[in-house]
Amino acid sequence: MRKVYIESASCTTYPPQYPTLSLKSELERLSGQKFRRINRYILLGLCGVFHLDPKGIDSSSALYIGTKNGCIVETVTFLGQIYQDALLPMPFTFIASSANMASYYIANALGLKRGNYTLSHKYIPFECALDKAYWDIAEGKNNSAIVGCIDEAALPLDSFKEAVGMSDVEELVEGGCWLSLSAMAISPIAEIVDVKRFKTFNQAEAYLPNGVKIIRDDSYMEKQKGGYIGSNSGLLFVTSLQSGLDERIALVTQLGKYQFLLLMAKSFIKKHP
Amino acid sequence: MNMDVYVRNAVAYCALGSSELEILSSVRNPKQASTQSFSFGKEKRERPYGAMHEEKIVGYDAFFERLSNVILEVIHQSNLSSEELEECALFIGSTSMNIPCSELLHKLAPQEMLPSIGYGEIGETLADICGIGGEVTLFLSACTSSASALLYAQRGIRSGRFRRCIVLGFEFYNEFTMSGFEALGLLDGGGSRSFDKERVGIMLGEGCAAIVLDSSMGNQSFRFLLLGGENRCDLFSPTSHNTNGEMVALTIQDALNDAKITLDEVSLIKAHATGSYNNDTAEGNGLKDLFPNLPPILALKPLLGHTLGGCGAVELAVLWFTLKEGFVPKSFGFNTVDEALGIIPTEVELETVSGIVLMNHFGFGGNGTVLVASYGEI
Repeated sequence: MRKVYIESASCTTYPPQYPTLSLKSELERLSGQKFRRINRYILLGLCGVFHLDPKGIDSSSALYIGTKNGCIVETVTFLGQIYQDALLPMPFTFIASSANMASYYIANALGLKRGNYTLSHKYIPFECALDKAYWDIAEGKNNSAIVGCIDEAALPLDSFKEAVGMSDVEELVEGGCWLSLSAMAISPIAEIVDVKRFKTFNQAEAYLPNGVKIIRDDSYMEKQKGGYIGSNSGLLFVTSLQSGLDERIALVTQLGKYQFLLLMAKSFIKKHP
Repeated sequence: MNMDVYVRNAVAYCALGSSELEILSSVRNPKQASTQSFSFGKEKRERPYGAMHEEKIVGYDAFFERLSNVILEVIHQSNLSSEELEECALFIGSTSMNIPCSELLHKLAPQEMLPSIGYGEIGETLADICGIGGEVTLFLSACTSSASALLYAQRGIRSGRFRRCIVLGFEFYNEFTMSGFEALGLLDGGGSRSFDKERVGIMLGEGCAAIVLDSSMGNQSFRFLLLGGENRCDLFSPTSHNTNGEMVALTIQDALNDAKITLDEVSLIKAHATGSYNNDTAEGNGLKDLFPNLPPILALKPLLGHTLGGCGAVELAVLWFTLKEGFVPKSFGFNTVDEALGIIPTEVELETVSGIVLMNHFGFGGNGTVLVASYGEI
């Protein structure tokens, strides 16, 4: 088994009211590339990866994207075109509604030709993607990977918040969190030091040494926390890594009814509170 | 650790039937594909379609009932206990996922559709109904979805992270997909004619299949060992692999390397063979570049229709049934050789006892997944 390092991290979230044109300008500034015919979901993903420091990423890097709901706005738009408006369906809208189109555009922008996965989970899409990216590097399948998640809100916002179990007062943001992983340790910000599966949360907690900051996903128990529509625990994990306040951070999330994933990282960023 | 990964059991409901016996009978004597009418703008259109024998899915109850039935049937056939299911993983691959249900809600009451959109819910609900307690993940990579789920499950069992996984692939009829492919001009009014000179597009189909992958083969007398595979991304276009076949060949070579198999050991290729001009050209050129002598090539989509993200699991199940019976089916829908392409799929049924089979899948988003398996009587 090889060591797996986190080379860079980004949390790239935006309020749903953030103009798509501003997102596009931001992307062009970050990437130096022009993008045509991309929808907001793809834009959110591209902005996320271009906020990452690209060290260690090359054409042999794999890509793992998690999403809770996929490209819902384009899906709703296409349904509206064919049913409400009885219009001829637009080919581009249909193509762009495919959930893996964001991973195609990201792979294309960065020249990634290896494994390309779009994954979904009701509560922890980011963790599902991170788990798979980790094992493929640890077992020698890939040397490096980008892993992240994308989710977007559908309009009308009030109905959407209700649909995802958020109250009116809770803040909702779109986008996701991103990591670049590598087996090479170029100038890592952290190392993933342990990944294990347990039958219960208590078993996972008991396994951890003292002094480890634990991030637990509670949304599995239908307690959807406000603030983000994708993977809350993933966002907290990446934010904690970036802060450098804790040397060891453990992400403990529920993958299935009787299965908990424990993923522990050792941070190399030293900051004093 | 390098564990063996067996197909322990498979169940499929598809255009050929809803039981192994029915499918085996229809694969030798297929009926003509039915036609499906659908709205296209203000018009009604009809296209050949690989319809399942069961009623069309109407609403979430029918959706979850159909999918849980196929999983529960494969669990029953594999004699998996509730304790074994507690640690079993569930990996699901599909392109349209729950679109048949969301589009129905959209037709009836668009304002009430929002709570039903999104995919993640499907996995949790099915795991709950079927008593599956391990990891649940959905794979959303267009036509390679359930093939990628199979590949990921294979890697996890091979390295000892999982003991067994259930892989579900499915695609059910929906107007969203029919009208989308019609808008792209990709539906062939003559049905699926894989590798044929006259091919002009695909024939869509529906189906679902559940496969149990296990480190033990149970009490089977037929061995189907999933040896390895590879997934790669062709950056040529969002909708097609490069017709020069370069990335197709690279993905196949990587898959063979992963499975530790040489080109001359491959005895059968289950091609992706959609019947679309670009897809067949890319796949055909890739195969010709790689193989000095091409082994028999099987195209199942003229029989099943293209079940999109479900095709990895559905076609693996049908292939498993036929290989167990000792034959490779004839590839229907092929009449005229495309001399520029030079690919001739199986024109007659072939006898087989054992061998190495390559299973190709190439889809939207540049996604390509190739699986490699060995098969034979013990």
